[in-house]
Amino acid sequence: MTTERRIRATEVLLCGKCSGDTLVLEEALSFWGGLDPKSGDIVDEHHPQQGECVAGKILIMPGTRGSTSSPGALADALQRGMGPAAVILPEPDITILVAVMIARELHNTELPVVVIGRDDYRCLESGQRLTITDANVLVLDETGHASYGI
Amino acid sequence: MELSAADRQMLAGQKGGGARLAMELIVQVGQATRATRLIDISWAHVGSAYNNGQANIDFAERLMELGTRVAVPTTLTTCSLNMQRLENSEPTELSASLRLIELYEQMGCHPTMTCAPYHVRAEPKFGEHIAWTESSAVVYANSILGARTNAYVEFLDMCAAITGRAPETGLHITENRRATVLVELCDLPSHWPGDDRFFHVLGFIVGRAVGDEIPAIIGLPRRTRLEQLRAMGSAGAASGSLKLFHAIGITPEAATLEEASQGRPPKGRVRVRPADLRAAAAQLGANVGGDVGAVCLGTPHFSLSEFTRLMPLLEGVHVHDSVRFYISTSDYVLAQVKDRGWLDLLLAAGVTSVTGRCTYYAPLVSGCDGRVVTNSAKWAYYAAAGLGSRPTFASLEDCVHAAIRGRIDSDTEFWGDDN
Repeated sequence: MTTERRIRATEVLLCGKCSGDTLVLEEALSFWGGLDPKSGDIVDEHHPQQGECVAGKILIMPGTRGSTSSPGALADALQRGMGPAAVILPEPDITILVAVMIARELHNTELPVVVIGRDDYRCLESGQRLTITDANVLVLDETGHASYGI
Repeated sequence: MELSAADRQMLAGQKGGGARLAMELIVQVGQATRATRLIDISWAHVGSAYNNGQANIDFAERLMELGTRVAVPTTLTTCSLNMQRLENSEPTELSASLRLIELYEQMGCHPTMTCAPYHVRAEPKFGEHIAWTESSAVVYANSILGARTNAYVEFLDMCAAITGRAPETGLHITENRRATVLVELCDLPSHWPGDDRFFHVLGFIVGRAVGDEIPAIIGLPRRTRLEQLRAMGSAGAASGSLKLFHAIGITPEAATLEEASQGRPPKGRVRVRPADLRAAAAQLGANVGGDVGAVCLGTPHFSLSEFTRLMPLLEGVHVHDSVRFYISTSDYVLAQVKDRGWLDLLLAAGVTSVTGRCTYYAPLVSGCDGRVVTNSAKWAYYAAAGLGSRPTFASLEDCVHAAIRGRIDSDTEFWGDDN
């Protein structure tokens, strides 16, 4: 039996649809100096999830911090195919919006960036299977586990 | 969002592809930040020309292909090159960085390559809307000049330059500039509030403590100098995300606490005690002495008034053989230094001027043996995190003495102890 939970985005910063496994960042990340655009790995020594890879993930994160040079690092990762498949936020984030718009303009990389309510945000966990529909609904597959490995 | 006729023309591509791209980004950001309209800006300070990666190069080349020009005076912030020693740069980095700067020049930007753009043109006026990048410049413009800017990220800064417009949001709006947190200074030794070191370390603490709130700092002396306010802001922007502070009785929107807080009660209160300042100074290496490998001044870029203070200290002395002594500044300020005949004095003393860049993210001092002594809390904080070097935070005078002796003592005399 399929169990699904549906979450409606409260705001769509950039529209698009995708499916993927979730990665929830516990803390805000500075992409500049914190993300290796060549691998998609989090390399910030001070981030609790240093070593995790954002490539292809539906990235759920509280926001960005730090350098005003961060959009370029995310745009570079996206161009190399090492960026996230989508970004879900509890509030709008200008760095991410600018990065994804620039990546779309320069390299035709499309990915959804959406904001969801705080209660919904808190319910999401890493390793879940999530689909973002073009109606801006997030469908969380609660039957099984996300597919890991190669 | 309300758009002017000119905004809509740009959005429709009637002013060229570059203006269309830029206006789309400005409008999207405006919508995301709940702006109800766009405002004119009079000056953009841009970080997009920094060669951070392929996106920076592709962005500039796309804008050039589209025949883009900036609409307002636009300065460029620091790059990765030392303009005084281009031949020492790694060749690939050199050609990519110079190419980027050239592209921005062709679009009408001034290649100022400085984090202190307020030194190279007439400062923006009180209440003037500008779109600046570079955290230390943003906090300077907002707090000390009373100009209005948010911290513009790369690409967005250039889009503001191209359109001459910015979303009316954040610190562009009067109400959002009110002080929300009180910072009270408790039981300070009387010799602290006249000294630069105190302001660096206070800024470091305040930046860390207030998060995104706007502090009103109570109890600073009226004779506080501009450079001391600047130091406080740059340290707070480095340790936290300080974009605006009010120093009651000193800064332009804070004649009184009532004015700074716009008559509303604060959300919080931070008490700064001597032990807090000592602990922060210790974190910046103020209490660690040792052999010195380098001295780094000029974070943010050294001003003419700082050179004026420094020059008498360098007369008739020479930097120790084992020490590299760098001062980061802008070409513009260095030209004024040269006009005053000071460049020869700097050279004779063994001091190296660096323009166009900062020394803390540079290979300039990496791999040097011994401690790196700096008068900047921002430098000390970033260098300890990023360069793996061992900073010692000290006064300007002690930086010079350390450079001459090749050694520095721990600064216990100034900071004292808690007992």
